Amino acid sequence: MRHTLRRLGTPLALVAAASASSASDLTLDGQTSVQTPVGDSVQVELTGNPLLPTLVLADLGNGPVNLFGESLPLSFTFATTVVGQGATDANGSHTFPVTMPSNPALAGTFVYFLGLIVDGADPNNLDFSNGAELELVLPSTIVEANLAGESLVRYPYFQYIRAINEGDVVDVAVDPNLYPSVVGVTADIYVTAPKTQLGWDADPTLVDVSSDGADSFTFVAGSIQSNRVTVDPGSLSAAAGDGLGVGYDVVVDLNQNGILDGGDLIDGYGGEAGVYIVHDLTQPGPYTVREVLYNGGSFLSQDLYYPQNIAALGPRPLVVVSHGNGHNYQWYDHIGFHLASYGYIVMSHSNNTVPGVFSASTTTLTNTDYFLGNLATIDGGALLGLVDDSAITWIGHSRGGEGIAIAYDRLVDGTYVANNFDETNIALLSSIAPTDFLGPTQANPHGVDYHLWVGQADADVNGCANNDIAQSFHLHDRAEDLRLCTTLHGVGHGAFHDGGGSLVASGPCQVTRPETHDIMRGYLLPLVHHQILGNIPAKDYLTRQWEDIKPIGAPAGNCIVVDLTYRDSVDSGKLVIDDFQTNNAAALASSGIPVSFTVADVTEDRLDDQNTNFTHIVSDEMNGMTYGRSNDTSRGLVFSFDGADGVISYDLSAAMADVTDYTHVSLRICQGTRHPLTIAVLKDVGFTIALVDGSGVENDIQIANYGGGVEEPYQRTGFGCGTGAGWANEFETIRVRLTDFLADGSGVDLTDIDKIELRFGPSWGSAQGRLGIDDLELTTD
Amino acid sequence: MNRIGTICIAAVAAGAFVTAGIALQGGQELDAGNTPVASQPTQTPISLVEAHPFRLLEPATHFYRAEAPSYDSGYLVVLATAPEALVPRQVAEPVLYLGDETVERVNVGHESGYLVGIVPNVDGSLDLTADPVFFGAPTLPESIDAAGARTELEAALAAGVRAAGADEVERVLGELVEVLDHQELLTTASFLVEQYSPEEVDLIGGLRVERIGR
Repeated sequence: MRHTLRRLGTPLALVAAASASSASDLTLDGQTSVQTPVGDSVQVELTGNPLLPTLVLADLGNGPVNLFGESLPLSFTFATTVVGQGATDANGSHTFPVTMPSNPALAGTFVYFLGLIVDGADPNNLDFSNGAELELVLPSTIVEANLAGESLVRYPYFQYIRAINEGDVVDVAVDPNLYPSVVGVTADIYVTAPKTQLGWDADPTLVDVSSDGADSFTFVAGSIQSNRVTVDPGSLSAAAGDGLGVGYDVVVDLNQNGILDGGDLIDGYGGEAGVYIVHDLTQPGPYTVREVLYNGGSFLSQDLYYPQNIAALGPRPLVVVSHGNGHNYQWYDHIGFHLASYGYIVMSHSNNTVPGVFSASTTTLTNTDYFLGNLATIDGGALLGLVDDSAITWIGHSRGGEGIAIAYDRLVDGTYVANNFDETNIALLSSIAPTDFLGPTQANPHGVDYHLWVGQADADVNGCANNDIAQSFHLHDRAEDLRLCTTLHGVGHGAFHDGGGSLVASGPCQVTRPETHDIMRGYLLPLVHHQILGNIPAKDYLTRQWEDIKPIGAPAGNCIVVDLTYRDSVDSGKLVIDDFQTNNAAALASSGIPVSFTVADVTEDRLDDQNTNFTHIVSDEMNGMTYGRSNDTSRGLVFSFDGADGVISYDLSAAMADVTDYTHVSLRICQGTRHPLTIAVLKDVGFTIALVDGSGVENDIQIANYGGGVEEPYQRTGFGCGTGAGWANEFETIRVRLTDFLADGSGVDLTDIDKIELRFGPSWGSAQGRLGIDDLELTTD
Repeated sequence: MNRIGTICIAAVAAGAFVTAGIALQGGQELDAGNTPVASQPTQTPISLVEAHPFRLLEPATHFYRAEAPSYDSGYLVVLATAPEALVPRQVAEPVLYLGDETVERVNVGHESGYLVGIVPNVDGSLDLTADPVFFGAPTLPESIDAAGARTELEAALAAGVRAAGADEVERVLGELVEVLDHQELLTTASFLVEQYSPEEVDLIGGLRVERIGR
């Protein structure tokens, strides 16, 4: 905001008196004296007789200097600059903008302007204007910006992220092309305790909490790579108690005054901190856990875990675990103790799975109902009034995994009415290697948030195309709203519980039970913390590729391969570009926009293998896809590229062109198992995402630059699943931040995006591949 | 310790139990991955070891039938078979029958080869001397109705499955068990599991957990 100073300076009055009859007039934003923030522009207007040459000068001194027989309000120092040159128009006006220097160190500097019109009507043919003055001030606005993250080796050279594992460095980057005010400025960069906007407004004092104090850094012109700095070497605390992530704000103090004020950049001005440091999620939380076994009657035996000090904590969310066939309700200590140590109440119950999955769903329902209805009796009433039943999580294993989906369906359909809850109490289902006996009419999560675990070495619910019952992915793709999937190479069916015995696994590079449980603990905690408690940094562990971030204690090694998918909810405000569920022609996206292809072998169809094995045959375009039965509707696209570049291009409509309301472009993508182009590579496949704006300016980013790629299928054989090696196609979600496409002054206009392109081939990543895609979206988070 | 009869109820045909050539290595645990379902389940040898009639004061629901009928009497049985036949599966596994009634499995038994089961006498027609024990086609028991069970029995009889004779039944017959309800019946059954399949520690303990609320 500009301010106008009224200075009653005598020199101005003298100039006006000396040439009153034909004096030109000079204003800055309509005033003769203004305050303008550094980096802002001011509108200069010089008026006089029409159609005459003009000149406007600026200087740091206001004279007066006698020149051409006149006393001029300008000092004509070495700093004198011509800021405008032209002619008055037919109305006698010459108007133009002048941009002030952006260096905040210039705040307080006065700049003086003087205009000149070459006018023969003037006694000396030089019509000098009045003087005008401008005071440079600091911007009144704090600049909110993404600052914290991790440096990348390749473009876009930096990834702005929420969560950083404890002990990892925290880097800051400022793109000088996006924030020109930093160029040439030596700033102090602070990592501070987090504050809300109100907190910052009340106390803008900057106090650095990193081990090396505030970091002084001089920003330079050019590239983001030249403007990255480590602000903490890994010293920041992650001690969040029963939470996940300790937040910190990051401030670039451009005027080095130790105060957050106008012109400074801040990451974390609002309700969300700039960055979160996260502890080892595989480790137990702060609470001592009490475990209690009790029996409420036939198939009402329950194994209960809860924080011993729950009375002091208040109501806590409930997690119910429903085991699988031949399993036991006491085999989920790794889930119960872990989540209870973070404050959850976990109840694992005897599950009537042997008769079948419908019976299993009944015991999920009856046990949840019994628990909620008998809190006065269970463990002497210790949990009475302390169970938050507003957002219940159901976890089910194998038949129990299908059982929880059937149970939810029964609540939704009204075919089961519980005494103490209904479907609105159920917030999240997590199925571990579920069967699919009953298909979409009953084994259906509907719109509840749904998560799926699949072990690709599962030798029971084995995932082969020859048995619909054994294809766990079906349930995930039936989920209508928010859904997540965790696919694990080398993990067998029995690895998911802790009852000992066989891992029930087949395939190479098998993962042990302890390793599997570490993966489960490290993922389940952010899953429930985010979905149930709304924890912010937890989402990074659900949406970023495993190769990018994993819990500190997650097992390592070549055999540990984890693919994650995440699809946001409908009410997140996302823009679905193509989910392939409508407009079945490949050339028309579900959003109604045209799609063009130069990749090969394009097929849009249901994500369902057309025969009973994974053997590659040309006619089975959806080979390896096990995301639906014949009466399921999940659809996607498959295609190939072989040594030549190819593109899938989405022509955005005018209504979609402004993508600035969105944060990421996201899609799920997989390799096609046993296809010759998959076998030829047999490693991660890379590709590129490109944005093209309405002016034809484009920029592209290789997804490999973030550290990951599209995983090759698990190289498993047998089970009558055909010839060759490679198990079911496994999607993973790739997300790229839209503002990353602006890095280093690319010039792409995010307010006017014309095309989103997926580019494949030797110029864009891997030279060859057979891929499947789905759920191309622009997300809001 | 009760007598452990080894009466063969089903005919043991050559190659009746097909293991698909899998030689179970010493120490290798049987699981659904390394143990295929028998191609002819009815030919899997299974014998009656003990049979205890029971009565429930409070009727129970037989979830192993599509009709989910109510019952208050039947037999608590111990069966012996090849451990491979009892490998638990998530996908369809052979349904166990006694006559034209499905058998509720109390334990898993794939390590011991002994299975404790509950056979409801829904319509009062259960007769151990006439009703053979056999494995039927793999499916979910809750999908089997009375007609379906009858069909399975007829197929088993056609395949040569036969019931024990009266003498054999008398040899394995135990005393009447009278308990309050299904849960108490399971608790009673836990002692049979402990005797015949003691490695199923968690199951045994879980069936004996303190009852609350009564």
